[in-house]
Amino acid sequence: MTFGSGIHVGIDLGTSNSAIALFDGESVSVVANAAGETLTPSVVRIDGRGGRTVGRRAHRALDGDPANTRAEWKRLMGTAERLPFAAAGAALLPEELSAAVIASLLADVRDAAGFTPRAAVISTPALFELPQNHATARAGRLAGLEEVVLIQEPIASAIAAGWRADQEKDRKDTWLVFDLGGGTLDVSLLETDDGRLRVVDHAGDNFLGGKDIDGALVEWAAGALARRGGGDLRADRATARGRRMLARLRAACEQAKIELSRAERASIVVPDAEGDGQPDAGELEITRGDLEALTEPFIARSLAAVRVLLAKNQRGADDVARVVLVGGPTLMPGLRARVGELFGGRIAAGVDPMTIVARGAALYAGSVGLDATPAARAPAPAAGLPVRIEHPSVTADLEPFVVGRCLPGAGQTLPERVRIEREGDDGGWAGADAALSPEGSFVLQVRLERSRRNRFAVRAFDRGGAEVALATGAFAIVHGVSIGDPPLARAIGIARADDTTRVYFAKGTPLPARRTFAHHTVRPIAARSDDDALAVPIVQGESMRAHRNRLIGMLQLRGVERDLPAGSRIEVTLEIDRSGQLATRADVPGTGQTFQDVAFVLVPTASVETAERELGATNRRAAEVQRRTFQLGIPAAVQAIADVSAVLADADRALPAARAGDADAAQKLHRLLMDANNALDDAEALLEWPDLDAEARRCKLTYTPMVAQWGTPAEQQLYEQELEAAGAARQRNDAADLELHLDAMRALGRAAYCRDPHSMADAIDWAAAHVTEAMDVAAAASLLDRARALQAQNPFADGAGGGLRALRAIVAEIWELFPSSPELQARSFDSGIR
Amino acid sequence: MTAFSAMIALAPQARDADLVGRGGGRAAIRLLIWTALWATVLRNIGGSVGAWAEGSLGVGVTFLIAVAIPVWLFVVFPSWLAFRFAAPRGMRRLALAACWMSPLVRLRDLPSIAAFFDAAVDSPFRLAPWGELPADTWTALASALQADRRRAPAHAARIVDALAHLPAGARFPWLARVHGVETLVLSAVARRDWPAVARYARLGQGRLVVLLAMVARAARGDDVPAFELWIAWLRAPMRRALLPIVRTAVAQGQAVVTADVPPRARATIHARHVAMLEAAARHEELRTDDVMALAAAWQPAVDDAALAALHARALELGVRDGGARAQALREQVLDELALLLARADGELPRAPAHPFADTLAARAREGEIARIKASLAAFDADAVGPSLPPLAAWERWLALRAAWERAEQTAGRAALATLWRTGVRDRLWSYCCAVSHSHGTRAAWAAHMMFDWLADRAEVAGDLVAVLANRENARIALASLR
Amino acid sequence: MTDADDVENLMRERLANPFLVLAVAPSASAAEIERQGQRLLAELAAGLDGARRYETPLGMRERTSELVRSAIAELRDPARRLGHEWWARGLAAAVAV
Repeated sequence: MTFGSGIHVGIDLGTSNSAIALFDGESVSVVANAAGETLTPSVVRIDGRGGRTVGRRAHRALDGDPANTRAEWKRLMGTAERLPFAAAGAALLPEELSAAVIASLLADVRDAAGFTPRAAVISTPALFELPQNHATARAGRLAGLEEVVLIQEPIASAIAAGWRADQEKDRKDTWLVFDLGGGTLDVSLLETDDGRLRVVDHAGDNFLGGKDIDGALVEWAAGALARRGGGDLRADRATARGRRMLARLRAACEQAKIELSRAERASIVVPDAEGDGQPDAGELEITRGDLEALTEPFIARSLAAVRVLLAKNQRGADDVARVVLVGGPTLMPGLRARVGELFGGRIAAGVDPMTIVARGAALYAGSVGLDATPAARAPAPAAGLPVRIEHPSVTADLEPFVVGRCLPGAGQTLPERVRIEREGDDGGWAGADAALSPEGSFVLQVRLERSRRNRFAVRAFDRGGAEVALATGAFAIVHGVSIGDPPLARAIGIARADDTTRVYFAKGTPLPARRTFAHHTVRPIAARSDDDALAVPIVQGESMRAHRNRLIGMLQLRGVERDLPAGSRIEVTLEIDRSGQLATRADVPGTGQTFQDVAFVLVPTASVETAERELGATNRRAAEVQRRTFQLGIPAAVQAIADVSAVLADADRALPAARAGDADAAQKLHRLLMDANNALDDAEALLEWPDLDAEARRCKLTYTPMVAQWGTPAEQQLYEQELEAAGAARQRNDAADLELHLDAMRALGRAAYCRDPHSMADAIDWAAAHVTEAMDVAAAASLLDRARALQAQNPFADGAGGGLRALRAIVAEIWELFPSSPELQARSFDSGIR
Repeated sequence: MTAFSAMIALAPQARDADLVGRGGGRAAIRLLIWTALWATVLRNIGGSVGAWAEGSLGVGVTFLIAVAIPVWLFVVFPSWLAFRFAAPRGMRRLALAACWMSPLVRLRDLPSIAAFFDAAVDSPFRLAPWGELPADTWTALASALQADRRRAPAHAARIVDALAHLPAGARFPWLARVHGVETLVLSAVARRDWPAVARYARLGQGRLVVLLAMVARAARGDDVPAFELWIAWLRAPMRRALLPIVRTAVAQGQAVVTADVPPRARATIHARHVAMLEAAARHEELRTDDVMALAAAWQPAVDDAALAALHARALELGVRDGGARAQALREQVLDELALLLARADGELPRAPAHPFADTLAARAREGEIARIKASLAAFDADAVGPSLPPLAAWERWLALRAAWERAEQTAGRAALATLWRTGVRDRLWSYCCAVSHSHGTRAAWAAHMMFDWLADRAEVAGDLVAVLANRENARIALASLR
Repeated sequence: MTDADDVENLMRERLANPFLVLAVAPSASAAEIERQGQRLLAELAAGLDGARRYETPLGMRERTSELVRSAIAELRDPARRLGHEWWARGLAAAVAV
């Protein structure tokens, strides 16, 4: 806990630009860098001698020296993708690049405030997954921070925007934070109730940002230049010269875009720096109208995300009291106009969208008491009785509790009474005297002055009334927005062997959090066998089906000391700390061992070939689901399908770039496919009942005559019963029960079918037609020959039925040669527990 | 797999016939050594007795020294040495050697007994790999012991239940009943898991088991006279180790018995619900009637009026979909009661008193059938082979047996008749045949049990063909063991 | 076997009802809940013995700062609060009796 004069640091690590802010308990200020700017471009350059440049200077080199300058790697955080720097011969991980940027920001603080921060809050997008959060925290520590706490960007924005807002008592407001940054869109719905902030829900897109808008602009410009008679810059992507020209075009487009927020027209100038008189250099004019037409699909997509979020939480645009716009791209007049239109102009004024996140992060650092000043700077405690005081750093409560405990050392005695006092513009305040408990503790309520830092002092008195000196009696409480612990963005759980997920932390669980559940193994493990490890897969995502969630870690049980038979109990504990670090442990009570060997899976570098195959498969699946949806006409399913088409179209567009080696596009493709499949899962779930109903009718039509003709009397009676029960289940809309009875009907029907002599012939014909699909084609063929021979002998004429039995036996053998696919093991990430 | 699978009744083949021949040789050697060893001992005893008595001893004493003691030494001493002395001290070789010498032990049981010793000291199986062990009482007890130690009490309970209901003719050696079950009971005592102790003790015989059964009853609150406990303790072995436990049991019996849960906790329906959850979590015995009574008590708290009030409160709090949330709470209570029912013993009432209980009963029945289907998924005849050892195959069947018998109890036999005909019969039949084929005599004991059980189920379902075929298969399996 | 674990986990969840953990009445206002929560967090951080346990119908249970934080967060969400309130009305009454 702070001693009353801590400084709190917040860092906004953005895709295009980063910023750092300080909060001293009274006000927040953004620290300027050496160039005097509050924004430091997130660009890193490494020259031939290994010298690093960060920020504006590196940004200038993006154009001229793209091989040694890197920008916009935020979407690659958490992957193992190394970014190469040719001249220095180095390849750095994204987090190492982020560390360089953070170090530069920390140096700026040192220049401005005279100390290097030891702890800071770093912001991350709300939809960042665990590996990405890990990487961000690692980046902070690599840059020299001792303690890193993460906060989601929308929450930071909301804190900053709401900090100085009028706080009327009992006021309940709904806010929307619209954060369109360089690489990501984060839309969050928040509620403030009498100063208490709460995240209701959020949505967004990890792959929609200013970068995509720039990309569209570059495409348009390159196309326009090509049509004018020059070469097509896009075709040259593979060569170094081509890439340099593209980089120049990109820079020019960015420039023009910024100009267009102030003017109606701008020029895109691509200098002919090569000096070779190439026709693809040149000048293009672009109007604000052109830009708006180009950005329309992105704006529409982002507004669609807003509408979906509102609808999901049963709110309308009118329920939103205020919209906070965050991020550079929100400066576009077109976007501001459209958002304003949707919300009746209720856009929060007076907030700088570029630095609001850094400010909010600094405020959050204050609210969790994260002091950035190094220990050496802390004032030395005065001589006196040590006392430990616990209190909220920041609270919306005007009369919070303060708890203290006197810790007398050798030769010191406990005082009799304590009192807390405060100075202030309202004339100060002094609480009533309170007696100490036998263990030396006190619990007192204090009164705060609204919207400011309140400084308190604790005074202690002995039995005679004389004041007892306390070593550390001063503390401060800030009255402001009280924010609960940051919620988890996506559910985290364990994948079980039957492809289901056991959710440990639901979406929205406040962090830090820890949970333990008991499981049982499905496979025996022999003692002391290193290679026969049991895997406990950790997944993140909302789907109950394990394979639809993202694998983020694998806990291996290796080196078991005693035999562990199948069915042994395992207690798995998952623990997440505030900054999103996950710790895992498995305890085996039977052997008394504990396993903590977790391999954290990085965001997989998706191979483009697999992604391409999966894209094809998903397209086919989508077509099939679409067909069924329109056939059955379920409106909710139609809605779900509509989104899928858009997502798959996006994926198709990302494919060429991914094939050309763009790692970012590959990640995007992978993510889009996952989203599409999840949406298809939802649609299929909606189609389940109508499908089942249709299936029930089909079964009845198909099997009733079969059973009537070929079934034994016992079978017929059973069938009647099942038919009746199925009818009742259909009335009740009871899917599980209906399935059971349909299964029974199918089995009875098939049993009857088998007695039909002609069914054998059908089966043999089918097998003959599909013989190439058999697992052992030669064996299948020979069995078929034998079957045909038997058929030729006309076994049905055999009154005893022996010929029919033999034929049936052969057909049974043939069937066994056709594969039934056990994919379950692969889909559940090879999980060894249930 | 498909409709055309396994309508075929296959008779298990008696494999490993040559083992009998080899076994005969070993038995002969054993007999020879016995004779030589004990002849020497007897001669020495006789000689010293003769030297000492010089004819002045009475008939009784002579009988004692010349007949009783040697018989005791010959019959009882080896097993005492093995189970009471060597095995608890981890002296595996000595224990096995003593078993080899004991006439109460069949030679073919030795590998299984070795496995049991390994399980008792909790070390990996050494004599034979897990996959080659036969399925018989000793290995079943070893498996139960492991399950008990690995905190999988349900699994251990299933094995013990199966052993308690062996078909006629199946072997359960006396030594296993006494010493094998003892070890299992002691494992539960170490955990102070008295319900488990009571369960295991029903299986066994012997003075130690009888004493621990009494202690378990006392711990549960039953009235056990103190002097009976002390007498049983005096008669039992391991007196020093068990003294503290018996003392506590006696003290418990003399203390005023208070209810586990303070009376005030029964005040509200929510508290009763949680109290029952806690009892279930502690593996205490739960009765279906109690759960249905709880469901009846819930009715007024989840009827339409109550849910409407909840909806009103939701509106006050500003919750958007209050009606749905209220319904969800009702569903939650239903789900939890269904969970409790799944762990309760007893039959479901045929005609429940009111709609809530009716829904609950229907859900419970569905749940039981679903559980059977889920365990059926593992019965792939193709999977049986070297990779699925006889004991593992038998244990897999145990899970199905447990689910089936529970379902019979709760859902009634009629509901299962259809299930029997439409998949269970053929699948299980092929599975058992496959087990018998793949492992021969090593799985004969297990196969006998499985076929017998199948025949019983077929009888209930009125499936005459299956009854005859499976009784025959059971008989063949039993015969191959002799 | 999953059933047994589920029962155990359910029971733990019921006994960790936020209103019980925070020792506030089900009718408490949001401000009262926050205040009480902060107070308990401060008491736990200061190591006061009285804060370490809370009462349930089945006896005293351990109170940790994670539980308190989780309780505060759960009760901030009105939808979640509805469910917890409903259970707490029955459980708290059993404790009070």
